[in-house]
Amino acid sequence: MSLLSRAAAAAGIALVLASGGCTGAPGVAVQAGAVDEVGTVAMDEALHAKLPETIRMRGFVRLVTDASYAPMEYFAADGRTIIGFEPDLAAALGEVLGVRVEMVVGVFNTALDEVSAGTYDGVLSSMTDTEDRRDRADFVNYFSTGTSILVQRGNPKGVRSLDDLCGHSAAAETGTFQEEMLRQTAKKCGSRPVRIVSLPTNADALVELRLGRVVAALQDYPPASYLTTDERTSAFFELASDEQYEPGLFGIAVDKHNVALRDCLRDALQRLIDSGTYGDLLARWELSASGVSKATVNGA
Amino acid sequence: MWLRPARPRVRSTSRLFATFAAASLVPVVALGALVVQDYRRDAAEQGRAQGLAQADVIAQMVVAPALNSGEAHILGGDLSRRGLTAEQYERMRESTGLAVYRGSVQHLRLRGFTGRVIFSDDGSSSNGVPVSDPDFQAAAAGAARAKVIIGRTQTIRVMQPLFAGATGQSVGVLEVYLPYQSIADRLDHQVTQTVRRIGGGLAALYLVLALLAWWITRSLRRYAADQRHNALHDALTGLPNRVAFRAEADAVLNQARRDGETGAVVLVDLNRFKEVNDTLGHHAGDELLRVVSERFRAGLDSRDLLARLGGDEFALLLPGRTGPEAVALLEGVRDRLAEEMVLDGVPLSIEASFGIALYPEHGDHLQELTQHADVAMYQGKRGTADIVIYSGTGVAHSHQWLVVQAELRHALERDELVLHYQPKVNLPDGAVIALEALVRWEHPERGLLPPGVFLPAAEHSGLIVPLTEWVLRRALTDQLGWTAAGQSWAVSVNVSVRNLEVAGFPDLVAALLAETGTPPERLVLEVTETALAGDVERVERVLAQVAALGVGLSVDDFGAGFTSLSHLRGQPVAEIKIDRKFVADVTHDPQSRAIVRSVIELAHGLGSRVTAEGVETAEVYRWLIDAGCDEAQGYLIGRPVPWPQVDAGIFGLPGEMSEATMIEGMSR
Repeated sequence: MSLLSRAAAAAGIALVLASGGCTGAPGVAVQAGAVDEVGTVAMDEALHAKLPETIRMRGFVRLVTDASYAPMEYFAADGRTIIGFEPDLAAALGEVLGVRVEMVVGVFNTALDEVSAGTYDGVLSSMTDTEDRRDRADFVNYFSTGTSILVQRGNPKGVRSLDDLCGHSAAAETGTFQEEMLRQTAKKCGSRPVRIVSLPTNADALVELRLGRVVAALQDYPPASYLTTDERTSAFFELASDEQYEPGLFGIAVDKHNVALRDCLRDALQRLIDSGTYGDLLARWELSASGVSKATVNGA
Repeated sequence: MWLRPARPRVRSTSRLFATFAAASLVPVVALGALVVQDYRRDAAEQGRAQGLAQADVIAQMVVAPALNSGEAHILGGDLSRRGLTAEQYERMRESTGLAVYRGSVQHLRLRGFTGRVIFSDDGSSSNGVPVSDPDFQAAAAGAARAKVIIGRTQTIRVMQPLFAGATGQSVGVLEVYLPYQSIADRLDHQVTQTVRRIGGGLAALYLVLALLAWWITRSLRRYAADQRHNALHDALTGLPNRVAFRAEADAVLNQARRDGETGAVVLVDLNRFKEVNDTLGHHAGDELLRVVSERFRAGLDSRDLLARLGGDEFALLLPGRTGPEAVALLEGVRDRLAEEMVLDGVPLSIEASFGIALYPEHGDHLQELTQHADVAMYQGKRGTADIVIYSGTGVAHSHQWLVVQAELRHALERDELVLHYQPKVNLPDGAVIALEALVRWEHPERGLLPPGVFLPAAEHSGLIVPLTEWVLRRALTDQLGWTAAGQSWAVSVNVSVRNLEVAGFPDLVAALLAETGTPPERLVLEVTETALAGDVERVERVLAQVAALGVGLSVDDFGAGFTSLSHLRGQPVAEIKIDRKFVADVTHDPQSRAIVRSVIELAHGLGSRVTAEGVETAEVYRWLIDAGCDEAQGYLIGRPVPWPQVDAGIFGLPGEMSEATMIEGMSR
């Protein structure tokens, strides 16, 4: 007994001596508090300096979003906190730029108008970077995906492709790329038109589909996939096919006149991509397949 | 024999039971309280959960649709900033009115995060939970809370975040008051029923435990009583045993010491019990003891204490009796015991020896008294009286005996004993014909001890048996020595009656004779006269066996005891030794002379030789020759000495032989 404890004490002394030796060896000094934050990026002073002065002065950037698009951006259970990939990305961008990037809930359909009016600095709401929209804003591309057709589980109307929607009703969020896609599809239907149901939020579109008032709802692949795999919703929804229609880029919409902010966001995003933070955030939300390898503006 | 007060034991068992009962009541009550408390808490929790669920349904089916009517106006934040549109307000009124009117919902308010009342069922905007209320804060932060409010009737108040649309965005707080009385009543009823069931079950459980405890304590009590009885009583006779006797007697004696009372301690030993045991078997022995105990009991008072110490030994404590009273009582007992009984068809009469010690006369402690009673009893056994009161003199060395016995045991092991020999000469020629072996003890501290110091103690215990065996063996060995030196003397060895009672004594003698190659006629065993008065049949049988070997038998100390002459008749006696008392007096006491002459004649008539012991003067010597005595022994002829110092020459009287020759002979 006493022999054992004496041996333990001796071992303890040896350990202390050994660790003392180690700290003496040249090593990387680790900043306190940074150890457990994976992929944290340091603030880039140069980029911060390039921010428009007004933003630098007030210390935050306000991006409008429609939080009904899990897992991209949606409300947490408390009904007030916005969570998802995009809030995380916004926060990371803020880290790099040295300002706070806030997500503000707004109506998707009028989001670009609000930016043009100067209410917000940009839109970060899974907005597809389209030619039409480029007339009103520049896009810092951060995501790449296509559109899926979401139907009720069991697919009662046998929808397999966009063409099958002819003669049926389909829902989409007002002002989205998917609403436009439905309009384009409707044009090809001839005598059996598609009845397009446009709703203020994506959640409202899903309510319509859940209640069987529409046959399908169009939305981007990531949230559609999320719905069909999440245990609370997978019992009601499925993808009509694995196909992603009209793949394209998502972009943070910034006013065309705010070039400095646009470029700062682009460079900051590139910094995140380079540092691995971007990849890490994608992985957290199981969105790695939709990542971009380079930060671009308006697709170039 | 005596009744022990039973009350204290009963009280202690009931206390044990009470302890049991109390100890098991604690966990039972604790368990009950715990279960009931848990159940109550669960019931309350269940009520709140029900309230929350109900509020949720109201929120989603009544409030949200009303707020969702119209445009996307609601989106983007806090109700308190914007309030409701007229249309939304109207829809709220329509959809809640009936429920409020019917009392399904007692109150319903929509609150902004700042606490502003956006809508209330009665149109007022000043009522409602304060913003600082933790429930309001929790609901504003996204968590639902339910609380039971006990007023005239019970109401449950639910505060929960207001999710206006499908996005899950909270735009305010919904404050709903739902009737809870019926739910509470039902839960109360459930709780009451459960409490009753659990209480009943636990009561039954407790009852079972208590019964068990009662049963166990009763068994324990009985067992303990049995154990106690067994520990203190003799199983065969049911009498108190030695331990019980000691305890009780100590108590009585203590009391007596304080109060100056008198009384007697008596030890009783049955005579010939061993014989019954050996001949009729242990079963008969047991039966005998039972009968004896009953007869004892019948002869005693209730205040007297009777115990069986073991074997055939009994003890009595007779408080408040004087010596004569005790003797009178014991005489009665003795007579009862002596009444004939029939065991296994054999009629028996039991005799016993009673030794009495009186307190405080002979001591006031039990040990002392029993020792004295023991001495008295053995005195009785040796003599004729069967009821003996300790005399204070005589063999009062009981304690010293114990020491001697212990030391003697060591002496045998360490070979501290030696044999001295006293010559016995033929009359009238004076030729030495035999030596009597006399044992001495070379005590390491006390020097050479004569047999009188230790033989009684040895005889009193079983030590006499190995001692005699040792003497026999040594004497025969010494005889080989003097035979080799050219002497043909016989050797006499004293044998105790105890030796004769030990089975196999004749075999031992035969074996020793064979071992040493001694002709049997050269060994004489001297048996004390009183030995012949003991267990006659047995002693006779053994003596006959020994005599059959060819060994000579001698009756020692003849005339000193109480030998019935009839005993001599059947015995193969070779020699009779006249006790020294008579021999010493022959020169001046005519009666002694007459006795000695008669004994000589008697012996010759029986075909035995006669030896006179204690011959100390020439006068006596001469008289003995004249009287026709065959042999003589005494200091005149020779003191006991180691055998090489024995004078082998012919003994002559000083007048007829020169003094120098005698001294020369002694010194050789």
